[in-house]
Amino acid sequence: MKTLTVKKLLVPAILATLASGCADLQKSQSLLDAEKSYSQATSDANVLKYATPELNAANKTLMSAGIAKNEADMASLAYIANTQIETAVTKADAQQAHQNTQILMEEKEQLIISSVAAKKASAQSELATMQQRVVSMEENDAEQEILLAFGNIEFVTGTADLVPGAVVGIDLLAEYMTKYPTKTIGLSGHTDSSGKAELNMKLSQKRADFIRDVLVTKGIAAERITAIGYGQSQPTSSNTTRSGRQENRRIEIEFNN
Amino acid sequence: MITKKSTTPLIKVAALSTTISILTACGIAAPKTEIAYAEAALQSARNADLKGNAGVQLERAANKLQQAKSEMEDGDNTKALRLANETIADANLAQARAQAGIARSSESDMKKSLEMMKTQLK
Repeated sequence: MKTLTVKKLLVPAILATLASGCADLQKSQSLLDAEKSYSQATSDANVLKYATPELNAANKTLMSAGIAKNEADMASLAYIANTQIETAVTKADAQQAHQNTQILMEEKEQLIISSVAAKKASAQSELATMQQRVVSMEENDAEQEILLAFGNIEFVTGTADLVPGAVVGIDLLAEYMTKYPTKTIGLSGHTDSSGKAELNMKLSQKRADFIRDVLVTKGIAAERITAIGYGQSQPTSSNTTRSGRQENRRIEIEFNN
Repeated sequence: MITKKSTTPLIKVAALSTTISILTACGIAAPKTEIAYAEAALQSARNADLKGNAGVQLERAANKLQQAKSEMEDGDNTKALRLANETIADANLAQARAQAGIARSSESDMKKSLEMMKTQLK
């Protein structure tokens, strides 16, 4: 008599149980739809970039649904897979929105930086203009003061010697040229019509040269000063009156930049 | 004829079959852990939905959670487990919706702010 052994009974029992659990089940429409959604999601670069874990979870659920034992399980797993895919797509959208916000923030920051830089440049330019204006005003004031002082300058008649106290203008001019070291000046000597024209020409040159030499002794470079004598050739007043002749005996200064 | 010696293997086979049946979900334990997890996931999604972007998903998840609890009380643990797992998926989607809504809102605000700044700087 043949006896039943454990081995002989166990193997068919296991096979029967597993076979009943793995009977082929037609894929439901909801599962097919979920598989289609999954396929679409995996072709979306954003979803792949930002929601890979969610996609992997959906794939795992789809595989479980594919071997579901009954329709209810398959329907439930298909629903879950579909929801997981939707979650993946939604997360990818959120991440894309975050990324866009980041880019916009950077653009805004750049705009603020540019704006501040432009305002700073504008303010600096304005400040420089104002400073330049102040400097110009100061220069102008100094030049006016010098011209006024030179208007009163007097030489001993027939010589290039200054009368006592007439050095104020020259001192002011030396200070001015020291303060503005890029400035150059032109000195022009003039006389009245008394005496010979040739002598007057020489005398006017001598007087202009005298002032230039004084400035040089005060540390001003000679090449910054041009000294020319015009004699009696450029009168500004009539030589027939005493006051007119006095006005014609003069040293003129031209300030150059 | 089945002898005493031959019944022992039969009992063993029966026990094994029952175990396999349980493992293949013919009968499962009450899904308390899954329901608790679903409840926590739902609460987390509710907390994340500051701007009300995931109302539909939250409501769906809440209904399913309630059904899962009812099924468990009625002893249908298989159905309760399915519903608990669906609740977790719904709650996760609700949370993603909530976060996406906030992210899109921030993007929109930033766009407006940038445009306003560009207009002011013109």
